[in-house]
Amino acid sequence: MQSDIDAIWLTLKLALFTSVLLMLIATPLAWKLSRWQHKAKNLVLAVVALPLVLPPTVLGFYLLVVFSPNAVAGELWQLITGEQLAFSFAGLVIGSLIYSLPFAVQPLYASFLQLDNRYIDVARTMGMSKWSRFRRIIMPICKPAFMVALGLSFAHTVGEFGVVLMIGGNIPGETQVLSIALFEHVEAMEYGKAHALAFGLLVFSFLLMALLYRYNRNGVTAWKS
Amino acid sequence: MEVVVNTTGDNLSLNVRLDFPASARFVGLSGPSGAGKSTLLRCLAGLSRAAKVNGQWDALRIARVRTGLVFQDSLLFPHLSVGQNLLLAADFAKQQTHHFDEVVLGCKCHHLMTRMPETLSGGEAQRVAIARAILNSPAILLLDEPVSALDDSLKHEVLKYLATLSRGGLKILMVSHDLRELALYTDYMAWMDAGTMVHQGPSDNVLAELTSQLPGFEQRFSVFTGKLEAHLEEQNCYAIRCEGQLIYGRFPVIDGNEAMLTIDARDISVDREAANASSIVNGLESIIEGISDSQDGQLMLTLKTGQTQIFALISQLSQERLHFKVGETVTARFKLR
Repeated sequence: MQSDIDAIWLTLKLALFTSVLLMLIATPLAWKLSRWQHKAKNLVLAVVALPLVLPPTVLGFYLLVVFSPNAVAGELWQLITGEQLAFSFAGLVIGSLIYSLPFAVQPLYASFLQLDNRYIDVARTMGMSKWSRFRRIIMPICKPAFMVALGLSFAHTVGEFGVVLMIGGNIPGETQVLSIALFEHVEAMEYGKAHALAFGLLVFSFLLMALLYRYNRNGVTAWKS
Repeated sequence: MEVVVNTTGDNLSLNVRLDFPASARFVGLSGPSGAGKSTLLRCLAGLSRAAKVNGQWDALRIARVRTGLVFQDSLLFPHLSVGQNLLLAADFAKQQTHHFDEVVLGCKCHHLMTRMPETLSGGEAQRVAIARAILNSPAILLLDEPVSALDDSLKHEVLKYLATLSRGGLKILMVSHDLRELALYTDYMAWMDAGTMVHQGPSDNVLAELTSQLPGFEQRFSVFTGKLEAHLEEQNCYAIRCEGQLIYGRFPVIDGNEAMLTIDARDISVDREAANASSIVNGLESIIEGISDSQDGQLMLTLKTGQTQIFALISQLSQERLHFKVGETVTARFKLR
């Protein structure tokens, strides 16, 4: 029972870290992409969207390779932090960032595309700095998209399984997230405990989606993929 | 004022030299659709990175000073109320050159302050957009057909207010398709086509040139100026003494004692009877100076009374019936409006 509660906390912590960090990464990325006119744009969009269709185990496998202390990234991380990247919470966060990236970028990208550039022109003629324009004009106008991006990346990270299994393994309190705890209960034929977690996740996901749709009625959730 | 703008866009290359005396305050800009008027305003506002803008307007370096731009669509920030839109603009002004409440009143948006932009009519939104631009205290105000969505009386209220601001020192460049509007309010005017300036100079001169060159009669109109005699409040109009005769109008431009009225050529009828048995209020005795050839079944009569030239568009059918001749004395009539 205690391990289940640990798993819930760990999952929420992971989802929170991931979704907040993703906002910081996805916002400038989506903005650049929405204002970028270049042949390579479709290629970049495809790369960002890749986690939508890629089997999580494929992503997890390559991340595991990169995280290994024998690889440059893994070695560098170990040099700086003294810890291994694979099978650690930090590793999970990095994996989740990549895994949930399209869920944060797509709604923002669609919303930025729709945003009339002339609002920004007006703000520029009014002498507003880049940061003021973003904070006082762009962010409030695109607020529904920000909420959707945050909610979707949070929910998607909560439901992560394949990537975590590959790069995080199953260390209680460190890398054992909800879906993996659930999987373990099923393996051990503890259907009662499995049901509690599964049903909890179902209700949580439903409530979150209902909330997002209620909040955002003008169709930002119907993004193009 | 001498400003040179060069830019090359997707389908239009702009090569413009604006040349006005430093005293120019309210400058009009017109031309056919696609002439590059809006592009020119964007360049002057510093919104086009590719554009080279050089020059100054009365000691103000165009590329350096704060220029306000009012687009054809009002583009009020949709997440802010009218009042918040205006306050935001005032917040980012370098210095407060205008009194907030005065601007709000001048642009007739005092009753709209708590409304959200999506609930405004086109005309209301345009007025708020103009107020927002003014409250940002620009040195130069660029307006792209700012009053196109306003009805006549409001249009003239707002234009009068803009004229007042321009006399107070604000420099205004206004794009409009309505030459009458420009004739009434601007002191200088430019006409552009296909990315270049075709005419520019004092508004009267440019209008005279345009009138003689425009292929169709559609845009021709007469300008009546005179001494303002009275404001008839009950009848909701003004009496103006023009060339010794009294005429009446609802929306003359008034500058001190002087008043000015423009009437479209198609709104003027020509009458041999001098006695006023007509319901049409205005009648000016004048002499026919010229009769154009028929064009699409219509002729343009050029009349003159004193120094005032009057254009009247009549049908070929009328001419066949009435046989107007050059040198004949007639009455030019037009409704009070």
